[in-house]
Amino acid sequence: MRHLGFVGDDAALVEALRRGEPGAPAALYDRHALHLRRVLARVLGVDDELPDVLHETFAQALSSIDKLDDPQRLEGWLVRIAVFTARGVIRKRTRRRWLRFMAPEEVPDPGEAPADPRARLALARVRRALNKLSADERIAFTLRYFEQLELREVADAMDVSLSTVKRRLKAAEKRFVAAANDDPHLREWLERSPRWSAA
Amino acid sequence: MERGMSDETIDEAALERFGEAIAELQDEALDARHDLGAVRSRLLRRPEPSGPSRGWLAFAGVAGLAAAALLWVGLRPAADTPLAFTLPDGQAGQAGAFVSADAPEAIAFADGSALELAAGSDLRFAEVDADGARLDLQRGRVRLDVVHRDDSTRWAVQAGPFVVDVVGTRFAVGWDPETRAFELHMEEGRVELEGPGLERRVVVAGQTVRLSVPDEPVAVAELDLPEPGDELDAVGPEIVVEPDEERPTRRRAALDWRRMAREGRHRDAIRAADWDRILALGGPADLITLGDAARFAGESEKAAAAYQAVRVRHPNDARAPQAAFFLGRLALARGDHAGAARFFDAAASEAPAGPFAAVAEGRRIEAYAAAGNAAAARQAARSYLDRWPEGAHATAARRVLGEALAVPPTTQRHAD
Repeated sequence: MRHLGFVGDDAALVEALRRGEPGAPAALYDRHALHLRRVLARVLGVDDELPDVLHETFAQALSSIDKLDDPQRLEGWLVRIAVFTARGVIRKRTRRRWLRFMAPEEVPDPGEAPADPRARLALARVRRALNKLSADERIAFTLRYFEQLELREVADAMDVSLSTVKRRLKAAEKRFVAAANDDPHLREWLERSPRWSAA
Repeated sequence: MERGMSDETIDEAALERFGEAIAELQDEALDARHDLGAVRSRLLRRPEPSGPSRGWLAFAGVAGLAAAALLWVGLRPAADTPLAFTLPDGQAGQAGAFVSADAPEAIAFADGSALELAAGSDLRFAEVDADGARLDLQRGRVRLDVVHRDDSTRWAVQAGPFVVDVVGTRFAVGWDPETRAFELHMEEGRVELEGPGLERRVVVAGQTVRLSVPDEPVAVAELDLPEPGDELDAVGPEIVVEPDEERPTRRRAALDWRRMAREGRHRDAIRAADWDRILALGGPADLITLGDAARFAGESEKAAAAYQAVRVRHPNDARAPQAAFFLGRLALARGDHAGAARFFDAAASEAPAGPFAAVAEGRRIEAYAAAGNAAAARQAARSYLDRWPEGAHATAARRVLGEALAVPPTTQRHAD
């Protein structure tokens, strides 16, 4: 027998997942994978662990779909799972650095390798600066400035209050700017129109 | 005195500009990765629930992982391997391959799926993975017979601004970029059709959809789309895909043009894109995407500008020959035959084993002949026949050389 592709909006999709309808998990992935991968990339960077983290995010979502209160808000719920999963990854990486008795910026994260060497350099410097932020500061900062979400959206994604996000963001800005000021390349890029993507 | 922002003078606008630029670099890096299909396969290899989702919870534990591992190790050793297929010239196909069929061509996939490309059609194998393929029909007509293997089977055909999502079925799609006319004819099964201003619709066996798309998006009511009727109930409630909500941030607006281009909304994409910025700063992936969108939208000058930017700013990138090939086609279309020949020459010589080499060499013959440069046309024809004696342009090459037109009868015709 042929299983046909799922048809229905997100609320219908949630119901289908809860009923165990064939094709629903694939539809969930097809609709939301691009967006969630982008959110994860903003927070973690584009590296070799990204596919595993994306997989983990969807696995978590599929196994806890019953916990979603409002099926109409599936996308926001998925973003919260992605952010939660990313936070775990950041903390794991931080522990790894501590175990190696190295400063955060001295331990490279899994490879992030765009073809353009200037782009590679830019992303590596940014990653180094971000490694000086706590997990929550980093998430607030990258969602606000890289993904360019509004503060309310950042708060929703992190599942915290607006005031908490403002506090984290303020701390993140200070720490990131301080790190950028210590790095001549970052400082210049931050001050000028960023042109390193040009060959 | 040290330059830089102080704690008291953190410039949020500067951070936003900086973040936007970083996000663009990340997007380029993401575009270069092709891991979405692999994650999908891995995820869906988990057993699907047979009852309520609590069944999923149980399977999500160790037993589920063990079962998935068993499947991985024992039953589906090549589950992540992209579907194998053979191009008409006998070479193994891969994602990115381009076929320009001067005569009808048939292509078979390892899973039993097959396609027939009508004469005069251009088709690109945009993505190929273990679960299926995404085909970009740039002009002409393609008939597909997709074998449904399991729930992860996923094929799609993009034709102009329309996307046909397929699970397993037999159908034909046509697209004419000049008249912007789209046609879908279902022979068996059903597909989902999406397009500009068009709610996602199921189209079933026996139905034919013909749409002519004006420059501006049209309302569904203006499209004479057949109603699937009772058939729809067999798969669940009718889908209602609302247009994307107005994106609230500048960053999201900047990201949207890529999404529009991917969805085949070429005119929307070229309107939304920040041309000055992309031409000046964009990477080769963005420039090719933008050039393609402009070309599909019939904006030749804009397309040429984007492709030229690839050539000038990223001359060593693997996509530079591709840009040269499309610059050649644009030049040919506007009657600049000598210019077209130069671009085709560059496309063929810069990547002699690349997916555009054969078609570029073939079009080069046409360009030199149209430019009245008979000597160069003959030389190009000889060069073509040396490499692709049975290729799609072999007849034209022999005609230029004044040789017999017959193609050797024992071999299949090549396309490129």
